[in-house]
Amino acid sequence: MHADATFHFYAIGTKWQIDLFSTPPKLHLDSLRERIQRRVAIFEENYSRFRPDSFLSKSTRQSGSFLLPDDAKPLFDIYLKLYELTDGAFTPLIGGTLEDAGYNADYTLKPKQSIYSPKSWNEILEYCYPRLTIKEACTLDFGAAGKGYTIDIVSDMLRQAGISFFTVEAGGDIRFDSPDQTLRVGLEHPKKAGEEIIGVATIQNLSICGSAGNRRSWGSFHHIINATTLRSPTDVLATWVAAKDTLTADALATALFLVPPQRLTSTFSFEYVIVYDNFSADISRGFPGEIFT
Amino acid sequence: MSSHHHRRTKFNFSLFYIASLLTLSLTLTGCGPATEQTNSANGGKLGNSQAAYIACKDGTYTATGDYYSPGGAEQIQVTVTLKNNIITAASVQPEGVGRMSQRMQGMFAANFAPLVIGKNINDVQLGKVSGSSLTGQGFNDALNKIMTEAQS
Repeated sequence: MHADATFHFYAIGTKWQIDLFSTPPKLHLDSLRERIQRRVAIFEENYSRFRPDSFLSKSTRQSGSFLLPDDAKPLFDIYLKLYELTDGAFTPLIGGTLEDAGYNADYTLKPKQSIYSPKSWNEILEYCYPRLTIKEACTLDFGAAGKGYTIDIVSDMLRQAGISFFTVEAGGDIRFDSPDQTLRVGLEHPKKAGEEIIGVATIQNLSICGSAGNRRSWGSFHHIINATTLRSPTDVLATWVAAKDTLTADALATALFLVPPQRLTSTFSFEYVIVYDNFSADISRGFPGEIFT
Repeated sequence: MSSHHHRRTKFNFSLFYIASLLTLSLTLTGCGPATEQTNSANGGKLGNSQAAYIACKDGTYTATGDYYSPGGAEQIQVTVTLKNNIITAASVQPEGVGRMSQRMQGMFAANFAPLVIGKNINDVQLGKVSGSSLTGQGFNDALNKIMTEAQS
């Protein structure tokens, strides 16, 4: 596959690469690129926990009620659903915990003496789209799905521009659209990133997201913390989820660190690979690809 | 080759373990032929009874095992692929109802599962690589600083 055009940029804390393999004749690439980067920036301005001036940072600093941005529904809906399915282990209120653990805008990476233990959803939040009510000041974090959701938003922009053959990749999470071709995606070895892979997923009009504790880890923590135990899971090394949209794939890749897949299969349609700390793997029957064993 | 050998040994052990735990009521599905296979694995007989010598047709077989945990009735699904009377692949699908059973079955599934191995990234033709997020520069910088501080 040869890309007609490739966009590289850095946004929401990670590297983006967008490859367009076929473009309509009158497409203005520079303007498309500009619109995409602007859109991703708006997402960050709305939701980023790492920006004290983001819409959510400002709105959750005190109790009150406000209208959410137009694009908030899919994000809040999946967080609420996963909150329920994981008995509270997956929650946006983990923001306060991540801050205290040292995963904050300044990347202090020095855990405080006492770490915020997320209260229950209903104690702090009342979510009824488009309204969110904050009953007590809090720090919300959408890091488990925000990137995947942004990939979906960008993919829709490409489709609306008449592009049907593309990849959108942000920090290892990938969306691939094509009318007639497949993309081979290597699954990075959780302990030998950049050198080895443990399998290959083959995708078409599908999203694949991975999560691993290997790169963003400090002390006893990595970027996923279970809200009910306040610990970063160590029994799972890495997860991958393939799904029809990137929001789902991204969120479930994190959720699989917190609960067994059986908790999620009746609610979501997805395929997965889980690599445990002894390097055994749980591979869903329909996973589109092969795992080396 | 050695990894294959290792895997087979592991499966045999696991199968024995399952057999001694469960009474498998075989229900054939999908790709397997639906006519034969009445080899109900019972009470650890695999390997020392005639059962082990029954010739089986190649195919993929799925069985749901029922057992009773202290928390009540539970099920676990087992799938094996047979080729020339050798199990070439096997997996278990936890279907536990109770919390503890879910956890135990999850652990069992994890330990039963094949061990993954890495291949050199340059030896496989790929379009992309998916993994943990390529980290922001800020995080790496901070981590480096901490490491330096820790060493001094």
